[in-house]
Amino acid sequence: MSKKMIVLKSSEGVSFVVEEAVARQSKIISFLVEEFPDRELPLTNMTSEILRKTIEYCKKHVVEDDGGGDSSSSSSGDLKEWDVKFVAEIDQPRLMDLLMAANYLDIPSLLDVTCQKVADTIAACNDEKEIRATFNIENDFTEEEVEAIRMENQYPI
Amino acid sequence: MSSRNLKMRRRRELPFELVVEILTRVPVKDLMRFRCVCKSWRSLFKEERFCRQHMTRAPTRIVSFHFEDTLLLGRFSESAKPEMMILEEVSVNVGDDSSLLNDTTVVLGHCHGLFCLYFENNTFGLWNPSLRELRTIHPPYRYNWYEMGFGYDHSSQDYKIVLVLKMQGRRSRSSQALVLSLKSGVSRMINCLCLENFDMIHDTISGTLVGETIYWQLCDDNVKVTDKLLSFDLVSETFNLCPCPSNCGKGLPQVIAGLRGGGLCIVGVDDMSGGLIVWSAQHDGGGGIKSWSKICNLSLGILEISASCRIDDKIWLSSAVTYAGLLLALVKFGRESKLLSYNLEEKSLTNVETSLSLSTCDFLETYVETLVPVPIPEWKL
Repeated sequence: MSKKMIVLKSSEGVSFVVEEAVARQSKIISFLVEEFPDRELPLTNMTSEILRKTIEYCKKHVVEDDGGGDSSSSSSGDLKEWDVKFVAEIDQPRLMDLLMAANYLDIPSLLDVTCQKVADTIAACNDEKEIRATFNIENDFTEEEVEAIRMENQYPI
Repeated sequence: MSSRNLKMRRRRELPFELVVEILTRVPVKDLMRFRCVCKSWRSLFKEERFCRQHMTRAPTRIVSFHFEDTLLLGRFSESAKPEMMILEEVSVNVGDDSSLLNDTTVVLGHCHGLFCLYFENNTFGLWNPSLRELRTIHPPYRYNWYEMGFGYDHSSQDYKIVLVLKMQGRRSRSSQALVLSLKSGVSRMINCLCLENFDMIHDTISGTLVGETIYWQLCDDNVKVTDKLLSFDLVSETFNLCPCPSNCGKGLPQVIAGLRGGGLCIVGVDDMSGGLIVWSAQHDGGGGIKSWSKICNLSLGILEISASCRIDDKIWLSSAVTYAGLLLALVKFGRESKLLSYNLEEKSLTNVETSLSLSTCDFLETYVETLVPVPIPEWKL
């Protein structure tokens, strides 16, 4: 039995031919495939680079049910290790793009690993200056306000 | 690609809902370090919804106290679960002259990252160690009490302290309890007539919180454990008596939650064999207990083999808790102190090595680091 393929198109107009089972990990694509079968699906706010990464993730995570006995191609421990490596190899700006793609396409497990990776990055920052620089956040506190906040939560009763 | 190039790329800003998704995955101690990043972060950390969402994601750990103002936080080593537990010391120093945790401090209970403590002189403490927030509470009335508990009632979204009171003039009998609702500041006296024929087991050991019910073991006049448990429903604020296995061990058996689909368990030391026994409750539909069955009996021989040491003396169960689907028991014999983990499904007993000694600890709890602010009651009289 040949597998059903669908076509996803990036913002640059590049077409990606993907097995339907792989693409259906996105709840949005799953919905679109039902509504518009046999149509090319344009993903206008995703670059080819990010779409390729997303597909790579979905391919690894697809649960194969072609009756081969092995329901999943990898054990959950291996998969977890693969996820860690997968997000570790992506630089910060692209990780943010991938996170937004996971949110837009509604792929909960990819959203989880990307969010976790960014959370780990935040936890590893030395101070708030580093966070502001990394995530391009503007400091809207005055020095006096910062001082007042620092005085909070210092015990004694 | 060089970092210069990265900065040149125009980026879309992350929607705030995704910032929230990310920040719910950052540990509390780091969120506390980063309160001053910007105003939107700071106000987010104080939002109740965010606190709840963060709490559901935060990892559960094992907590114990060194009574020199130190918390011990533990988790299984990822590569060697359950043979190895990594323990971390967290200082809770409150200043030069006041010691928060000392020999007289009683831990009433823990819920949502909040500890309820009793100091002395009608003074309670509510404490979130990860926020470094501690407030003392003076209930509006002064009573003596036998049993106490602490928990959360989702229906009123309030934390409650319950104290079973010692009644004057009626020796060691009790029929009333005081319920203190901490956010709303309401204190209410309720009847617990079911207690008229019982003595309380201790006046400093707190009840076990399971969901929204607190359980205590009851003693008779001779301070012998009876075949009854007292339960208190935090939502309906009612007391009930439930059956308890008649031989659940000598000394102080531990009532614990969460094994076998969340039902109640009792761990004790068997009178006859001296080994560890575990009972599991069959619950009825309404949260009560129908019956108990003994689900395991770990003889001294088995304990000797898995702890790989000789047990000449009797064993003493210091504490038991359910963690990561396993039963953890802190057992002492002679000068030895061992942490044992029992897997009910596989019926396997493992000796857990710890990175720091637990020999000075006699209390284990599960604990989640949260942003839940300490409630400040203003008593309505």
